[in-house]
Amino acid sequence: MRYGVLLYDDETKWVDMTAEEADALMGAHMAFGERVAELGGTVVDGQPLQGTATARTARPAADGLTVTDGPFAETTEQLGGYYVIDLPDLDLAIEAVKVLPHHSELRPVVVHDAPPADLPATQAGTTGDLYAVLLYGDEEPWLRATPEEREATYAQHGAFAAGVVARGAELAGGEELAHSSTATTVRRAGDDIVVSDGPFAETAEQLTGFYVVRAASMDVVLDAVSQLPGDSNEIRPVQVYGDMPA
Amino acid sequence: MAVEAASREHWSRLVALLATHSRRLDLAEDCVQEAFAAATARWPVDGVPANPGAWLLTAARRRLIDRVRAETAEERRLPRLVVGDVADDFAVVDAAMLRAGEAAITDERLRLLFVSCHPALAPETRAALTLRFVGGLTVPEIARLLLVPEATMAARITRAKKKIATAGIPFRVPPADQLGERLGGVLVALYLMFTEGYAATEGPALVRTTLAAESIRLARAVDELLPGEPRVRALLALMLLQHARRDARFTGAGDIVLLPDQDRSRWHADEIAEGMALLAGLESSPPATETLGTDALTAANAEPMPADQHAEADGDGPPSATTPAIGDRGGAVDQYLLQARIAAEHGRAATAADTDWQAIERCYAQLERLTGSPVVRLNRAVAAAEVAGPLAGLALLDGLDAQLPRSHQLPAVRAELLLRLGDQHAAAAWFDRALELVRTDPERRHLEARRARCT
Repeated sequence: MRYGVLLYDDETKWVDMTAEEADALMGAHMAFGERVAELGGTVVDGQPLQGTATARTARPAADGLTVTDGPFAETTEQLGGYYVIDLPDLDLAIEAVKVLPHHSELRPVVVHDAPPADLPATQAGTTGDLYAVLLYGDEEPWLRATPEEREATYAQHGAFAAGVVARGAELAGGEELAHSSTATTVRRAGDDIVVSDGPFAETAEQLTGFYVVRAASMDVVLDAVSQLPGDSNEIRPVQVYGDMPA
Repeated sequence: MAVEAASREHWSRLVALLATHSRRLDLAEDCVQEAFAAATARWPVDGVPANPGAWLLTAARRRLIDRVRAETAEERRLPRLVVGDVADDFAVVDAAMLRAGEAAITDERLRLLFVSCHPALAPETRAALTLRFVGGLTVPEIARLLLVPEATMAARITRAKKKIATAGIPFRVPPADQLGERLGGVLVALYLMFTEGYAATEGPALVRTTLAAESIRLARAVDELLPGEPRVRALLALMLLQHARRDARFTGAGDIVLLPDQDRSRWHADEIAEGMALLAGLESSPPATETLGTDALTAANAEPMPADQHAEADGDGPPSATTPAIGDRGGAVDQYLLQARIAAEHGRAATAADTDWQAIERCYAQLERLTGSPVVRLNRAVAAAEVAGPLAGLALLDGLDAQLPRSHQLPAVRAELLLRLGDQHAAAAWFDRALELVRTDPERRHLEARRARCT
């Protein structure tokens, strides 16, 4: 099974962290990777996101897209990063995220066997920073969509991928997440861990998937995002640690 | 009729066997259903097979393999969720069929019990899944038991099956270090299953002995997994002490025999002795409430159990599992223990007159403080009436009507107490009210007989 691990926390905790606290945080994430391996799985992907102050959100409007500063949802506990892991079952995934000092939402990932055939190759030497594109939307229409409607939506995603490349950027990652009703949330309350049914936030609009794009600027990403279907898309720079080992 | 009998005996075992090896509860259930449909068509023509269980298993398994193959073909066209290759497991199913002895089956159902009670499922869903897949109750029965509209219950179960398959909830008993935190939900569900066996919510018979016995068997299996765990022991003691009275609770014609009138020689003395011994072991060890840990949190969300169907079905200190949320606000052990003590008081009384109602009333009072449950209060009222007279009992019933609007026991108890006070007119009116609400035939006959004494 492949799971998206969505990490939620009060981001003000990371402001003014002492060096020791930062080390402990880093240590917990190193331990997570080890724990996943110990449980017989692999960490496929993962990125920490910058604070929501850096976010921009594109919402559909009558005349195209409206872009505003700030995250999609103004909440105390925000998506602060994610992992994609492969583990045999949910119990092992729950065990793995227990070492993380955050709340985790575990969401099965929808696997696409092959990328769209007409996806142009990324231009060699593409540089820039990484940005996460968080796709938020009402899940109900997708549940009711006909196979034709679904294929049309996937075609739009294909066009987005092509648009990214056409803008000299690179599609560095991304996953489609299964419906939030299949989510499991692992909350921390001090040392206690509470496992429950459903997504971290019980809201009408849910994170339905995400992309990671390497691009010269946020504006390039925003421009490409205009080709995406769906409701609202939040773009958030990926956190870069200068002294991280490669 | 043969198919009906086979359904009662084999349905949940077949689902357990197919589901644990295919990890597809949804398909397993559908395929077992189709196998029974095939049996309904074939058996009257071909005759009932020598081994109906094996016939059904083969038929269901064949359908399951076909369905999985069809799905796999479909998945090649569309994006899919990564799930292990289900077909790989069919070698295991075949092996399991060959050794499908009693022990293996208990093992399958234990796994299904832990799947049904998984913390990644909503608490109100866990009880429903357990009753469906471990207890073998139908969706309409579960809907009525949990006081939920049938369509809502059907949707809830469908969604849960999808979640189990998509989210990869494993079909296995958790490892020892995680058992403790998973236990609370399992015990709540087992006790709910037991109470449905002890006093059915509807239908021609009031007791489903196999369902109650099955709950006890599973509790024993859980006890083996966690030897000496006080919560399991307390629940097992409670179930044994209640179940021991089963043969004396009804006449040959299926009519209710009230506790004072029961032939105590028909109680299963060995089961009472075992329950008492378990209880003695628990009383001598320190209270174990602190071992609850995070599991108390899980149990605190437990399905509020139906509040209205068991109280005083036979004047027999009922299994108050019907109280909301066993384990609520800590003290799951205490709650099971108190109820076991009540059952033990009845068990140790040589005659009805020897019953220590004061001790019983004290237990109910403690239980009421722990749970705040109106059903417990109803039972306490019955005990209080034995101790201090009908007026004391009636006083405790005040204010319960709003909390138990669908209970037939509340008007029935009120009627009995009024009858004892000699107020036949008022008693008759409350018996009539109880008769409007009652849903099982033996209880109806009993209430009608009591009503007839009022005129």
